[in-house]
Amino acid sequence: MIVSRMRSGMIFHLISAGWLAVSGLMVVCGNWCPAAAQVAEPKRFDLRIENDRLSGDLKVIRVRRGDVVEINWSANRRTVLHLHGYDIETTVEPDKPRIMSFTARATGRFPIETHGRQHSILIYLEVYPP
Amino acid sequence: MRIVAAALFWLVTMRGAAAHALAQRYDLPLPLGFFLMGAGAAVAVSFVVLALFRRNDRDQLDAALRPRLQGAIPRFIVLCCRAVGGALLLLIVCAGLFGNQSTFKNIAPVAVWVVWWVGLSFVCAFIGNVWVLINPWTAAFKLAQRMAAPWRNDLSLRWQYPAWLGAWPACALFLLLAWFELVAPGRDVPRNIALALLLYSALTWAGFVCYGRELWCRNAEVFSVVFGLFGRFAPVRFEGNGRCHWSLRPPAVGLLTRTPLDPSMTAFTLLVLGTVTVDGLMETPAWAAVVEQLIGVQPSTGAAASYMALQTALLVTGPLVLAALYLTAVALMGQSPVTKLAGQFVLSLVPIAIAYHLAHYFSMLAIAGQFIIPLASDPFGYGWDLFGTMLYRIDIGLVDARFIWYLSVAAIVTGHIIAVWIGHATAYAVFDAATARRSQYPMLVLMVGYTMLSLWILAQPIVEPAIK
Repeated sequence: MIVSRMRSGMIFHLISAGWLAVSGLMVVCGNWCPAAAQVAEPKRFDLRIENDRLSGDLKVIRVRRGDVVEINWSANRRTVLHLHGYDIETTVEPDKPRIMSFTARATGRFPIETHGRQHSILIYLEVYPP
Repeated sequence: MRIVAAALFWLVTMRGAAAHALAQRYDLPLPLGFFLMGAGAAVAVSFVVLALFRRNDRDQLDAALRPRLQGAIPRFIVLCCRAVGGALLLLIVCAGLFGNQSTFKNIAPVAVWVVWWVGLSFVCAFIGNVWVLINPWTAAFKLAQRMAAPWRNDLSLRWQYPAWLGAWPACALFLLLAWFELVAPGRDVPRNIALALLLYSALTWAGFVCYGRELWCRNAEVFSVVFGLFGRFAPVRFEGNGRCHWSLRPPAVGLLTRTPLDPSMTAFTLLVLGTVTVDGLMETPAWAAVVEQLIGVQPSTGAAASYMALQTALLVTGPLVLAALYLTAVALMGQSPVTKLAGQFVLSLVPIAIAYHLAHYFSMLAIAGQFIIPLASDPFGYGWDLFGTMLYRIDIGLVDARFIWYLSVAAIVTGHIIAVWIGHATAYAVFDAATARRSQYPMLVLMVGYTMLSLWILAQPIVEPAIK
């Protein structure tokens, strides 16, 4: 009886200890943010939109936190683009390509949508921790 | 009836903002290393618990269930909670009906889908079921009852509630609510939310009047039932009938039950667990591929309708598949009756679902939840600035991807350990030691599978099918 109580108590303590260790690790890693050592070259992407769809095979733009990102958009007709989260909106015209330029300061996966009669996702931007 | 039908029709046909409009940022998929770490740990701890668990003392179940600390909640706090609950419901409905109809300029969508549905479910699971204190429908009903006291002793007619009906009304309403949350196209439109709340309020008060408040809350008031289910996991237990009480207990022991759940509550639990998983499945590339295969990627009329039909099919099939697997696991325990055992063990799966829910929604709550700060100043979207926070810009970097990965794996593994532990504790309380051990093999397989599915979903990039 005492043994059984000790055993189940042990499991409980194991769980608690594991939980504490992992949460400690999480806090450390969550706040751990190395300063951007040098200003690197911007990450450039050239994307072409044909009839509200992306031409080419690229499905995801992958960058790291702290990167300077430049997306060069061109389109065969007027298209309104919206990068969610970073909340950048830009309108591309057939004769006027546009550059979306920003520093990827927040990690996550962000949809880039065309906002017209209907909203449809063109591509995702993924910002990974360094 | 015609009005209800018209409102429902409007709800269905009204085209709202794009799907997932509330999500500005998705979580990054869980990297392979984290996935393997979580999966390995889940399997390993299953065997550790299996090897170490030797509790065959039935009295310990009761000891675990006995509250450690308890007390009454002061009357004025209870009244404040009820007033806040009632006022917020009124505010959400008024804002939805009369306010700006754009999703982020009206308090209704964020307040209902992020703060209430996700935020409150976390509070109920990790602190305590505060819903019994703030439930606006019971608050209003109690107030009405008090005001009517000089004329009528009891506002409810106390009709005989059919015993066979059990919690099935809650099941039906939960399915409807999940459909509204995950499938309905106009779910982010403030007016639709307000109309749905008005319809639901009418139904709830009708139920209170016909069958009595306690009975309706136990069997049909879907928020009471679902928050009650999550609240079993929490360390604080709130009781709201008559005088309000709180009591403290070790976390998760509320999921241990002496009396098995009746079949309708078992079904409700499986429905909630299945829906939580379906919610994640609907955003995986695998599902998108299935949808695109069945509907085709070319824009066509009726694509949106067939997509909704497919989602609805998944929403119904998911919980049914889980129920079938669970009943198989229970049947494989080799003991009878299966329905009684199904009611006994179903709660042991709840921690896995709560863990997945936390991993899936934590960042959404932390980031989309910030919209409540500017919206509190300007709930109707009229350009007010009540608290000076109208210009607050949400910080999308508030939670880092790495933090979410650690949180996900830690939550999933902890949830799995607790699930295995609850399963064992229940088995040793209802069977003799040898049977108890044997009975947990099929459950363990099911739990490992359920945990792996959760981890797998978290490791998938979130996508939407390319049909419109």
